[in-house]
Amino acid sequence: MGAHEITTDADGFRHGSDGEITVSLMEADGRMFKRRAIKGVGSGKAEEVCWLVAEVDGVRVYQQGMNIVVTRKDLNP
Amino acid sequence: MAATVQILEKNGAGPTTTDKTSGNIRFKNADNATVDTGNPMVKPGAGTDYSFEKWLRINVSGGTYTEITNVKAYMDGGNGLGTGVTLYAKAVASYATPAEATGVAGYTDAFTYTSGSPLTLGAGPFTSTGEKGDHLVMMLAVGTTASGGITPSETLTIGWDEI
Repeated sequence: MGAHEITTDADGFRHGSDGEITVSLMEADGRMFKRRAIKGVGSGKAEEVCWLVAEVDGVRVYQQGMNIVVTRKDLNP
Repeated sequence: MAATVQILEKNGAGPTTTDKTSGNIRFKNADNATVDTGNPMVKPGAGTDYSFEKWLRINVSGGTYTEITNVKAYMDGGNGLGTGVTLYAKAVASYATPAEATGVAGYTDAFTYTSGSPLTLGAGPFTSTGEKGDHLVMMLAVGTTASGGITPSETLTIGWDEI
């Protein structure tokens, strides 16, 4: 699973997918974005991380692989 | 698609840029991106030996994206560099030729920047290609209680939001 792709359907709803799992945001006032990071910069063992984030009314759904977290917290990889 | 993001180390007046996305960054007593044992940090008999500054910045080299926001940097919260060795960081907008640090004024202990409290490198939004956000300026301080040898690597994370 690589970086997520975010698309918008004909009704304006956003969908984020990593190729295996799709998160659909069915609220027009919500937002969806990728939270990306390079971990281990400068160590010679850097790795890229991509989380999909869907947010509605301050509640966020973070998805990476088979892991999903629902929280109001601002989490970083 | 996603933005293709590099982490650049910048050296000299030019500056010269080196892609360090997956490479090593070596703190030393010289301004260069070479990972070698030349110009090493020296355990002082008294006081502190400060490294030259490391100027790092994200660079979007390609890919497809709409905007990048919320660029930030943080460590894992625990200093694993060993006794007497401290890493400092600050955000600086405009590049200046890296100099040997003379103290910690203006800097903050890098290990106080964590995933829950990162160092902000620019809110954005940033678009298109090229260098984005503030520079992450870091320097290493070696005190009299340090041990010799090459320190273990530490985990610096540089992150951003992207649509």
